[in-house]
Amino acid sequence: MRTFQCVAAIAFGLSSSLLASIASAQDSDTLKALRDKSMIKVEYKAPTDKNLEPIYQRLKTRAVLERMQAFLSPLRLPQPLNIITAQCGGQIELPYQPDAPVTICYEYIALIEQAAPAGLGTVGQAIVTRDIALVGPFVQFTLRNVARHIIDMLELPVWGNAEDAADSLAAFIMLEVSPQVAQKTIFGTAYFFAKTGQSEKLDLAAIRPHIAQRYFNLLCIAVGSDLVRYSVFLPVDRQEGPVDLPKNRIGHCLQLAAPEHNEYNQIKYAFHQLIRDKHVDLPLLKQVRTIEWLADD
Amino acid sequence: MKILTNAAIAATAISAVAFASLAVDAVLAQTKPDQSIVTKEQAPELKNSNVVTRYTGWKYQALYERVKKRAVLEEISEFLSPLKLKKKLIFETTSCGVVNAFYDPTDQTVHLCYEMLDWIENVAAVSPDKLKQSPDAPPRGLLPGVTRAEAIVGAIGGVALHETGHAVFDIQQIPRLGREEDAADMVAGFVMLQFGSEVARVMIKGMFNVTHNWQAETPNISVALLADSHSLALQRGFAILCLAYGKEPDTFKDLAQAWLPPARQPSCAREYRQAENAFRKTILPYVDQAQMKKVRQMQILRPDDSKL
Repeated sequence: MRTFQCVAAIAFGLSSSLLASIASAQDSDTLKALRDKSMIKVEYKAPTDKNLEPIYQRLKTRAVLERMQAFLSPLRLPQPLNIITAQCGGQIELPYQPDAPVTICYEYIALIEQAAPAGLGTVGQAIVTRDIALVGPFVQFTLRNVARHIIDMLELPVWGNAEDAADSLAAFIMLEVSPQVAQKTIFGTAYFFAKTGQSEKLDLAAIRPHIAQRYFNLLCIAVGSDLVRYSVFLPVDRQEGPVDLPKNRIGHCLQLAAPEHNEYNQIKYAFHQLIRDKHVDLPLLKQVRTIEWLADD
Repeated sequence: MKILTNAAIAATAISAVAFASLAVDAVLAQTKPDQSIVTKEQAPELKNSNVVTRYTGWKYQALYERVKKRAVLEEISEFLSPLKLKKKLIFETTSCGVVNAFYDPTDQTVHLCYEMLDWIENVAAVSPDKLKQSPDAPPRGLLPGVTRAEAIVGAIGGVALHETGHAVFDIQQIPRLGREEDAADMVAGFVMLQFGSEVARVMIKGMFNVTHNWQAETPNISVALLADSHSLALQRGFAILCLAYGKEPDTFKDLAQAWLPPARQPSCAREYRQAENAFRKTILPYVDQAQMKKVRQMQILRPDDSKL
């Protein structure tokens, strides 16, 4: 039951229903050893807005950032990368600044909580629990912002939109941890994107694509990684719904004639070539992968 | 005759800009392109044994003959001569049945469809008042300030560069962290900017104009469009214009003021540096610098190009 740890802890921070899954003392020792080797530095900044105080307290009590710090410990960086949680003056997200810390806004977490279903929800044919709807987008948001900073810190060559690159890297990492973590984080993120995408204005000049585009990009990578597991997003033997991956995209996601060209394998290749083979402590990664990060208790 | 001239321009754009630029030592050296003009006949040995060209198709016979006579594909081959390709790359003009251009990784072939050339010449590069326009739809045709010649050169050159980007990624096994289609656009935009300000303005104006026309063809943004592997047409146009503005703010200030919303402008310098970094780390290692110097002596825009 060495489950949870990092991502699970993130869930704890967001949902009291998961409190029963606190890691054991042995797990804590394992995590501490990883944190000590991590180049990620973390900090919780207290909010001035009283409404955000409970979120701050939950994250801190459950050591959410410390677990992310352990999870990311295999990353070898030229300098430490800071991740902070903070109040962002009413914005759900701060504009990207290469030299600023990765900032997780309490306002964003509040939005995640607001979008999550009280009990069970659905995104297309996929059933999503409140816990999944809380954990998924939090993990995605944190990983994609870490990825965005790492792209610049490591001066990685990026052809295409760097914002998309960050999303793709986050999706790939989510998919690689374990099938269980993958499904929870993909489903949860898909639910959040589908919910919040309805109200996002389309700005064609924005550097970051519309959330609906990011939603389909996420599904495309997921379907390419595991067709069966994510087939709930494919309109097979039924009418295509608004949150299904449309037929015009599915072919690109699968590339059945040459799967090495599908979007999942493309980001996998790029990750291996540019990050894993050069900037990852592989023995430490092996150790991290032995931990079951998001299992059900 | 009109189309003949256009095809010639297209050829020039495709060949010159596109593939020569794949070497872009100039980008990194920050030197200006060689101003001396060398005609095709004068060009030194510019052969790439890994580039194969062929003209096919019968439906657009006149266009086929003009493109062939103009040796469009041969020029592409010349411009790709500095690139040390790992496999053979085929360029083909063909009739596809739809307005399109694409790269097929299963046989390493870039297909430039006559339908696409035809659409550019007869829609995107035509004055709006000469086109049948629906009153409810965004107008198609030339944007204010864009000439017919710029529209044709920029569009065809840009499309050819985009497909070449796909081909180079595939054949050289270049890792792409961004989405494939945006990545190919970035290659096209970056290359367009490596042959001096005059060429860059022509190419960027033409490419932005064609994205405007693509957007006008699909004014209703459907779920299928949002889910497409391509970004939306104007997103693509803004991204390419932003690259240009990021590299040369003075040269592109007027275009940015006219077409690029202010909120995007501050990130453009960073976006251009990103493309430059990607080029230096992933494509430049495959470029023969000595051969590139020869390619850079080729003429990009010819005197007739401005007379359309």
